Amino acid sequence: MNPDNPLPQLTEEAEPTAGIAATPVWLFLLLLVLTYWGMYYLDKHGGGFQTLVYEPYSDLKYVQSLQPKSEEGELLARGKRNFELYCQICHQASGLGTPGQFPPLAGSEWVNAPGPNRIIHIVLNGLQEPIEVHGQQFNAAMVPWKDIMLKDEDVAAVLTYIRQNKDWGNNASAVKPEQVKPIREKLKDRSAPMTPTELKTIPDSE
Amino acid sequence: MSATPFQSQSSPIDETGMPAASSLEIDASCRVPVLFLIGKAVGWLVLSSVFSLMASLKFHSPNLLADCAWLTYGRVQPAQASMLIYGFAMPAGVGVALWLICRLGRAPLLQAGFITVCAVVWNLGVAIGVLGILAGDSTGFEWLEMPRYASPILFLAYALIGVWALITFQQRRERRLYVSQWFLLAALFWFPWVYSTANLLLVFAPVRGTLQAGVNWWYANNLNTIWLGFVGLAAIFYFIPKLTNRPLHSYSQAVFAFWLLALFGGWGGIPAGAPLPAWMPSLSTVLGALILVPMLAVAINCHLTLAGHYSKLKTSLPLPFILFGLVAFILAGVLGVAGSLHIVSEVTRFTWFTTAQKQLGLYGFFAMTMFGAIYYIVPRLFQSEWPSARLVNLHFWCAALGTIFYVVPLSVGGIVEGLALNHGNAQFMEVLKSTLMFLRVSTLGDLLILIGNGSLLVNITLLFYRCYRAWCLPAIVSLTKTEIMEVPS
Ligand code: HEC
Repeated sequence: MNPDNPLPQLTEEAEPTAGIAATPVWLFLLLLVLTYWGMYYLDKHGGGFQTLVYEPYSDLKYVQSLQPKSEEGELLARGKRNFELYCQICHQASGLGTPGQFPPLAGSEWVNAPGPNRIIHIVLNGLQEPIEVHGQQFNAAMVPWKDIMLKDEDVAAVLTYIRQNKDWGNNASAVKPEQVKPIREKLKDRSAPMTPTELKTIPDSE
Repeated sequence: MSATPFQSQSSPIDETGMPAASSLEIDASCRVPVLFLIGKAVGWLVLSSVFSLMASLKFHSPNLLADCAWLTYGRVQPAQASMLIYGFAMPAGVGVALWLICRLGRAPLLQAGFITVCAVVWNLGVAIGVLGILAGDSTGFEWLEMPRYASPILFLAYALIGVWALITFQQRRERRLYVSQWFLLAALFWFPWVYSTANLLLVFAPVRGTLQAGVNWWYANNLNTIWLGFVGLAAIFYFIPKLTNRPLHSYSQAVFAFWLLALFGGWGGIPAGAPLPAWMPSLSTVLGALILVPMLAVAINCHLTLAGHYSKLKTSLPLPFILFGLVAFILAGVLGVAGSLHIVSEVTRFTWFTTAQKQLGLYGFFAMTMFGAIYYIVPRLFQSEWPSARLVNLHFWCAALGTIFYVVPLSVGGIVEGLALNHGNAQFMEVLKSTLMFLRVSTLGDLLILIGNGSLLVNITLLFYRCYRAWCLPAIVSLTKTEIMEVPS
């Protein structure tokens, strides 16, 4: 006893010790099961760890399919694909063509005409005989595409792409499939390529 | 093992060459800093209950004190939370931790005077922070509302106390570790890390956009699950064997729980539907759910320790608090995991459910566990029993019922509210009004909690006064050499 302590003494138990019982195995198994569930849950709700996927969506493709699409962007992308596929070998990716052989599309007065009528004819039926582009003379032949690009949308897309290609300095109006359709109809039975003289008779404002 | 008079209990084992310190010696070294920390904490606790009641009343009586800008809901609520967390929970936790570190290490506390000064500084920081919030300077981040002129004070005070706690731990004379020390040591390091990181990224050099919300959730979850969780569990693992006089069932199972909590506990907290890429809340949910395993391990461990000795609940004053805390810990964890699941969260997010779950963890688990510890430690530091065992029982029942009256209606109300809100053509005001009944009951819970906390304050004040009369008064009297007064024996 502490003689100085005027207050009643407290009793106290010994400091705690711990037994050596092992951790039950089923706790580890439970951890495994929960981990398995966790993977499933992550797979279902984790959005594939894509930073663009937010609640309540869970997969990037679906989210992208919901994005509002601009028709123009769509058309340009399709046009670019077609250009790379069909036109690039002659007119070059730069749109500058090859001097003396293939005329440039960049800055071309034919391409940048107020309306696309004349170049729709060129692409559908091809072109031959001397032509002046940008003050330079060309005299070779361009193949027709109407049997390759069967869809009016494809023709409209590639022409929109060359007319609106900002990298080339072009900035003309877009081309619509409806503008291609009547011309394709008109040229249905003609197999001869167009000539520049002939084209000049078609108004270039439309 | 049988109860021994507490000053004769010193173990002979010791590898440092220093004899293990007696309980009496240890308690003497802890007396001033720990009593100061706990005493101030209880003061803040009661103040926070008053503010909590005020905030709760404002839901059904919106005009109450509405003319005073300092006492509007937007300030009272965060002030209340800050007082509860930084005024009560943390200092009480630090006080209990210091005492546990000394007792388990069989070594006296080092630099008790310096630690007391740090505790004064901490309390000053809390006062400045709370006044700042009431004045309208809140940062607006949950649990980090204290303005930038208060948070560095808290950080500094905590860090300095932490250093001496670590050195005391290092100088321990019983080299074998008990499980509580694992938890305490981790908690000591955890707070400065998360507190400084969160304050830097949110207040001093804010990150951009919704990432702020992510940092905020990360911090709140770490403070809640790790810091409060670890300190609370350290106390539970200490007091359950101690109060029942039985060894803890399994050391390895406790350490198993420790590592799982430390590895996975800090990742949870980002709710499904957070404005962050979906993988973040989902990962948070999954890792948060894994802590069900350590929780189960803790529950089993404690149950097997107590098995056959639950009757001790009737005779021990602190044990009911500790056990209530343990049960609330498990329940809050289960509610937290459930609430983070996709299906549940679709209903419960943005409702009272979250509030209820937080209260269950903060008050039901942590505060109750600390009360248990306080009811055990404080009389030993004062070397005198509690003046009124009745008040202790009153505290228990008020706090237990108050927690239930607070948590049950708010979680049910939250689910009702969430289901109603998810209806396409729900009328927002109508839905809000339908939760009023639940809010009223929760106010009753708040009131009960206030009464409970008040009885702790009364008891501790009486104890202080009794000891003042028994120890200090004679000393003062003999010092001033006035006539001998009658001293109660
Ligand atoms: C085989 C090479 C070749 C390919 C492939 C080719 N062109 Fe041409 N293109 C020419 C040649 C050569 C001329 C000039 C014809 C002439 O001299 O009359 C020309 C002329 C043109 C013109 C008018 C002149 C100008 O430069 O503005 C346009 C428009 C045009 N091509 C567009 C296209 C488009 C669109 C495609 C892809 C669908 C394409 N070309 C594919 C060789 C090609």
